[in-house]
Amino acid sequence: MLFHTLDFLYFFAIFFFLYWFLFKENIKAQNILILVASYVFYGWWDWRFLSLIAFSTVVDYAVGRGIYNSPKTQKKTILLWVSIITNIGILGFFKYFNFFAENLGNLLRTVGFEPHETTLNIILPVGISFYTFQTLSYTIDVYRSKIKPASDFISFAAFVSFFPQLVAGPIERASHLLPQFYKKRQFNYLLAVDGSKQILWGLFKKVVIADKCGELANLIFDNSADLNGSSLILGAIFFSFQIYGDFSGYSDIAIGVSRLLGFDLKQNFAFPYFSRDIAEFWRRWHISLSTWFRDYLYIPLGGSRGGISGKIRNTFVIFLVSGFWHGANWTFVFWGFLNALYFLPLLLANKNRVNTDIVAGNGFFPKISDFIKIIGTYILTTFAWIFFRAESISHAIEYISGIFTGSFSADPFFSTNHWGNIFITLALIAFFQVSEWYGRFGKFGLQNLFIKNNRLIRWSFYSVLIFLIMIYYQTDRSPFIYFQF
Amino acid sequence: MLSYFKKFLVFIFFASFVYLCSLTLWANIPYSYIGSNFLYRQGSYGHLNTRLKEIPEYGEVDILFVGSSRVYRGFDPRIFKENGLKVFVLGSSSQTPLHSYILLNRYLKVLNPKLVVFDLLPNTFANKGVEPTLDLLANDRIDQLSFEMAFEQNDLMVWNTMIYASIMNVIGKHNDFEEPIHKPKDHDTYIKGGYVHKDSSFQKEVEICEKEKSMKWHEPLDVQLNYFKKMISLLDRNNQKFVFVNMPIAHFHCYSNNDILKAYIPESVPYLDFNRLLDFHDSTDFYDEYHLNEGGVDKLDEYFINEFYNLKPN
Repeated sequence: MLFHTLDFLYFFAIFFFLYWFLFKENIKAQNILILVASYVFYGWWDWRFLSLIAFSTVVDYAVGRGIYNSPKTQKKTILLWVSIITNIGILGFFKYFNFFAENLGNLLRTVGFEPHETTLNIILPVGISFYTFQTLSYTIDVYRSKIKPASDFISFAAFVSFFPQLVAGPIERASHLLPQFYKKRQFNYLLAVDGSKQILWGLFKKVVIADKCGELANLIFDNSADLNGSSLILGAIFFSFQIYGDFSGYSDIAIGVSRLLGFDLKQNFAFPYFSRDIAEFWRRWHISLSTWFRDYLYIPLGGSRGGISGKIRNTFVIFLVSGFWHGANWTFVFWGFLNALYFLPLLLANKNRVNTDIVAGNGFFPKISDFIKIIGTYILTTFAWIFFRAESISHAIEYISGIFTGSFSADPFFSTNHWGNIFITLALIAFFQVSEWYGRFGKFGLQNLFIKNNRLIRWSFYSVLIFLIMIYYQTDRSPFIYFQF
Repeated sequence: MLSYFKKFLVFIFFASFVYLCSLTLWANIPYSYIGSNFLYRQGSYGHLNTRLKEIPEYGEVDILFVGSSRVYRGFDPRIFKENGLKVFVLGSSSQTPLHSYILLNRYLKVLNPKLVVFDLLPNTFANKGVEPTLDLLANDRIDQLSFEMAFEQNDLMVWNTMIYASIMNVIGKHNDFEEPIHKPKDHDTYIKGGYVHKDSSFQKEVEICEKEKSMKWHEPLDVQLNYFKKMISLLDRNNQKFVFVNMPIAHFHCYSNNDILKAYIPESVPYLDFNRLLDFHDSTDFYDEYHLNEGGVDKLDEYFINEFYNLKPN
C-alpha cells in the first residue's frame, strides 16, 4: 500500500476515525489498533513476511526483558548477541545471500574452480532494513542501560511495526518513540495542521518532483550509451532530485501522518542540497540512518578518537557499511567509498563541524563563498549518485566517460515532447528548491512558508501544490525508491 | 478536532475553486509538450467531432455501423447511397464496447436504423479505453453518461478532462469548435455519413508475422464484456435488429484465437466474419494492418450490400 494511493487514503480514513473517535480514551485499545493496522498495512505488500516481523518483535522483546532482568554482564552480552545475530541474520539472508553466493562463485572461478551456482529466488521483504535496525537499536540501548525495556508487549510490537515509518523510516530510537506509546495522545490542532502541511509537501516532492525526474532519469540512464555529455549531466541532476524527492517525500508523509495521530517522529532530511560541505550534507541527509551508524558502529569502533589510522579506518567502515546497507551491489559499496573519500579530508583537518548553522541565516542570499560551496558539494554528491543509480560499476564508468567525452549540444535523441518535459521538470526543480530555500528555517519546506502572509496567499499556494500533484500524478503507481532497501 | 475539520472543509472548497481556475489556465498552454493528466483535444484523430455534429440533421438511416476506426474507414456511405441505402458510421478511434454503449444510448433513437452492425475487435475488448473516453469527452456532449464513463474509467486524466469539458459546456464554448474536413497531415478527408477516407497515396508497410498463429489476442476485460451485454440489452429493449461482424485485418492468419469473442455472442444474433467470407489480400487491400484501402473498402461494401437484404431487417 503506497502512501500516494487511494488504497492508503481509505485505509487511513477508517483508521483515523477508529483511533480518534472510538478508542481515544483508551491507550491500550489505540495501541492494539495501531498494531493491527500496521500488520494489515505491511501484509498488503506480502502477507508472508508478517511472520518475519513478528518473529523479530518477539525475539527482541524477550531479549530486552532478559537483558534488563539479568544480573550478570555475560548473560546480558549473550542475549544482546542473540538479538544482533537474529536481526542481522534475517537481513543478511534476505538481502545479501545471492550477492555473496554470486561473488563467491566469481572469486572461485578466477582461481580455477567451477562451483555449482547456488542462488535462491529470494524476495526482499519491504522495509526489512529499517525495522531490523529499529529493533536492534532498542536492544542495544537496553543493554547500555539507556532505556528500560518495554513494559508491555503490545506497545513494543506497535513501536516496531508503526505503519507510518515501517517500510522506509525514519528509523526511530526507542528512547524517543517507545514512551509515546505509553502516554495518552491528545489531538492537537497545531500539530495536525503542521502534519497536514507536511503530508502535502511530501506528496508534492514524491508525485511531482521525484516521479517527473524519475521518468527522465530512467530514460537517460537506460540509454546512456547513445547520449551526449549534456544529456548525461541532466540525467545525473534528475536522479539527484528523484532520490531526494522520493525519499524525503516519504519521510515527510510518514512524519505528517504520525503527527495526525499525536506522535512525534524525528526529522530525517534537513535541506541537504543547501550543504556547504560533505560533512554538513551527511548531517542533513537520511539523518536517522547516519546517526544510527554513528551511535552503534562509529562510536563503538572508537569514533574520531585514536590516531589518524583509527579515524581513517572508522570512516571507511561507516561509509562502506552504509553503502552496503542500501543494497547488494558493488555500486552501493563504491558510492559509500566515494563519500568516505569526500569526508575524510574534512575529518582529518578537523573541519567536519564548521558549517553547523543554517546557511544565509542572517539574510536571504548566501555569501558568494557559501554559494560556491553549495554548488561544489552538490556536484560531488551528484557525481557519487551516478554510482548509486548505475546498474554496475562499468555502467557508471561508461556514464561518467560519456560526460567528459560527449558533446554538449542539443541531443538529437530527444524528440520535441522530451524537450518539453525536460524544460518543465527543470522549472519544477527550480520552483521546488526556491520554496525549500525560503522554508529552510523550518523542519520541512512548507512549514513556515508564507506563515507571515495572510491565509489567502498561503491557501492559494497549497492549492497550487494540490493542482500540480493531481496534474502530474502517475496512474501506473511508481513505488518509493527506498522500498527496495 | 472540530475546528480542524471545519477549516479543512473550508480549505477543500477553496482549493477546489483554485483547482478549476488552474485547470482552465492549464488548458490554454501547450500542455501536451510538458506531459500531464489532462488531454482535451477537439478535432483529434478520426473526425469524431464532425461525425457527431452531423447526426441531428442526418435523419433516419437504413444501417448504422458501430465500432472503431476499422468501421469508419471500412464502410463508405457513398457506395451504399449508390445502391439506394442510407447509412451512418458511428465510430471513433479505438472505440470499446463501453463507448459504443454510450453512443448508442445517445444517438440510436435519432438515427432509428433498420439494422445495427457492430464490429467485434478483440483489442477494444481488452482495452480499458482511456483514449476513446478522452475523445468522447472533448468531442461529444457532456451529460449523465459522461459521468458514468468517467466513473468507470476512474482515471485522473479522464477526471481532469471531464471537469474542464464540463466547464466549457457550462460557459457554452464546448460546441464552438469547427473541425476541418480535410486533414492533410493525416491524409484524411471526412465524408458525410461518418466515413473517413484515407488518401490513396498513403500506404504503410503492412507487417505480417513470420509464422501463422504465432500471435494471440488478449483476453477481454470484465468491464468491456459488461458493457457489451448492456449494449445488447439496449438494442433488445428498442427492438433493434443487429448483427455482429469481424472486419477484415491484414494479419488475420497470424492469430491463433480469432474466435475469442464468439463465446460472448448470443446464438440468435448473426455473425459475419469478413476475413473468412471474403478473400482479402494483405498487400493490395490494406493500407496498414487494420485498415482497408479504397479497393478493399469497395470489395467489402459491395459484399455487405448484398448481405443486407439476406439479413432481412424490418
